[in-house]
Amino acid sequence: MLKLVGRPLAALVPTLLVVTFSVFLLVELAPGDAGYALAGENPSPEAVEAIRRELRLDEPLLQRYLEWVWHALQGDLGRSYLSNQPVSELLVQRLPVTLSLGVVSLVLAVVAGFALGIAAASRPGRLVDRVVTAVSSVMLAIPSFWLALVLVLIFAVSRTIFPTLGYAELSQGAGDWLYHLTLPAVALAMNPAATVALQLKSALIAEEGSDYLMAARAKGLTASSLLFKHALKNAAVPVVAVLGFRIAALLGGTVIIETIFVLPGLGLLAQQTAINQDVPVILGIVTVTTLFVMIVNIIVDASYGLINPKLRGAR
Amino acid sequence: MSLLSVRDLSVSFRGPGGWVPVTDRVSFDVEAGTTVGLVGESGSGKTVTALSAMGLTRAQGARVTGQVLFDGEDLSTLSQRELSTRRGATISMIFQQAIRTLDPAFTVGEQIAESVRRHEKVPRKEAWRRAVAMLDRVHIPRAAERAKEYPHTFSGGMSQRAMIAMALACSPKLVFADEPTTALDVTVQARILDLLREIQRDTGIAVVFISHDLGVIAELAQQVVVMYAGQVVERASVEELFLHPRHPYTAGLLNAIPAVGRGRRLVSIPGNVPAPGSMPTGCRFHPRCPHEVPGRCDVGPLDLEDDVRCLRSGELTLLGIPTPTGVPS
Repeated sequence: MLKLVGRPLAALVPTLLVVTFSVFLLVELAPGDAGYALAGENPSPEAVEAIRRELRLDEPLLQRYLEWVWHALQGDLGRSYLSNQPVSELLVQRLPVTLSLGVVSLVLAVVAGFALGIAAASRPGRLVDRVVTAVSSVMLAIPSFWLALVLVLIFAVSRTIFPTLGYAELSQGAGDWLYHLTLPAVALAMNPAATVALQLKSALIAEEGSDYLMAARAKGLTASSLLFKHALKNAAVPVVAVLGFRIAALLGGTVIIETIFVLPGLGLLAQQTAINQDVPVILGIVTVTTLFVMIVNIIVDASYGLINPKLRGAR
Repeated sequence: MSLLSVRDLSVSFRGPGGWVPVTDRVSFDVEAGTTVGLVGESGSGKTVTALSAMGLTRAQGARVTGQVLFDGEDLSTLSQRELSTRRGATISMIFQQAIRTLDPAFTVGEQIAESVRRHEKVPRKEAWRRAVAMLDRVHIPRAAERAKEYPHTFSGGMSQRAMIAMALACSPKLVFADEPTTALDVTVQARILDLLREIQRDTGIAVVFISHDLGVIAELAQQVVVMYAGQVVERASVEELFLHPRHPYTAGLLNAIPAVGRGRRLVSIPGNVPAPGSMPTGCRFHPRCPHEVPGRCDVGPLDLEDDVRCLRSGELTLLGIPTPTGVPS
């Protein structure tokens, strides 16, 4: 178990360095910089130059990057060029919103995906199976931002069943919190739910013909414990793997979804700061999301061991 | 009355062009505490017969007709739910590929305890204790520790022992043993056969031993049922069958038994078992039979008469062999 977790944990630091440096480079390569963004409309070249000097943008790239790393290692992620707010403070403000959205959509995706997958696999080739397969394929093809806009039109503009924008903190009541998250979470959950449904269906059908299920039936187990205990535990292995990938994609999806629903999370922040080239904030967001995705991967890897005993001793 | 009486069991599976008959009116009896050998080449319908007797092919959507009278009731009339309370409790099955018939995601102990808890209202701890005792019973060393391990850590022979423990955990009255030693190497094979004999001696369980190898059957069974192409072609006691085979197919199987120092060439039966759905007319064995008479063996339906399915059995004198040494009489 230690090896299962230890190795990816050791890979964390180099990955973070590569990712942050790439982002640093990308921002540098983009036209313009924070000097232009901050100097207002029609700035004089001197004004821009002054701001650039003040932000030390005239210093060599590598030096600035290493300085950032040095400070980051001490827990100081710098201040926003725009608001002068400490980046760590910004992140602490915004992270709960994105995490809430992510968790709610993930739960939604898992519940819906498993329900659909099991329903389809219990009657392979029949109507339920065909409907689930068709619906899932359509769900996979629809981009989440399109669904988000359609949901807004149906539930928030024509009828105001759900709010179109804004966020309510969990501390102010779970009902209101969930109420504000429903539409964005549905939009975000659609893709992973369809993936889980299709994966689980084919994994379950693959297990169906296996010898151990025949033997389990021969010792008197009922159809439901064959499906829910034995087949499901074996079929869950590939599904958990896919789910791990989807979590990273889900995080990417929050940028668009948070923008559409004006949820003040990391995604919305990322979109705003990227436009203004607010390098410290961008790097802060990238660091946090990279860390998050890698930790999720470690958890997914570790959970393989729980589901699939062969992996525990093997590595 | 026999413990198990299979009467006219016919099984069809759904194929691309309609129902394909796989076995045809298979009938045989098993007395309590005895061993019946079900023998034939691959594809002769032995496994399908065993699975169908337990209602397991019906669960897969096969069409099954005939009766399975077991322990005072007709299993063929029971629903899957009712059958599930008999399976593993009074009638059980051991499979060929033990490694693949244990669920890789649960420990061996859990899988045996699960069977106990399914059929007997016992607490979890008690079921676990029984599982460990069963593993010990099938001579798995360090049973208490091995019970906590997963099937992939078990060797072929050990997983077959675990499979036997799982099948027999609730002391069934009859067990189908479907080629339980075929996938194992010879020395392990002998030990598993010893184990089965030992358990039968101690518990008086009836065994239907399925094998393509008459040599193995001779070591265990008292009665033999020979199957070919989905039909029973001969039924007899082991001694009778070996000394005086009445069906040319049985004689062919006997000729294929390897034996040390018998000074006789091994003869294989030419050709293959016909595929279900494309059975020859008349005697199904006639295209491979050395005694076939054209115009006689290849026409008309052929029934089992006086325990043999051959028109010429009265006029042929087929060569038998003495039962292999070491056979308990």
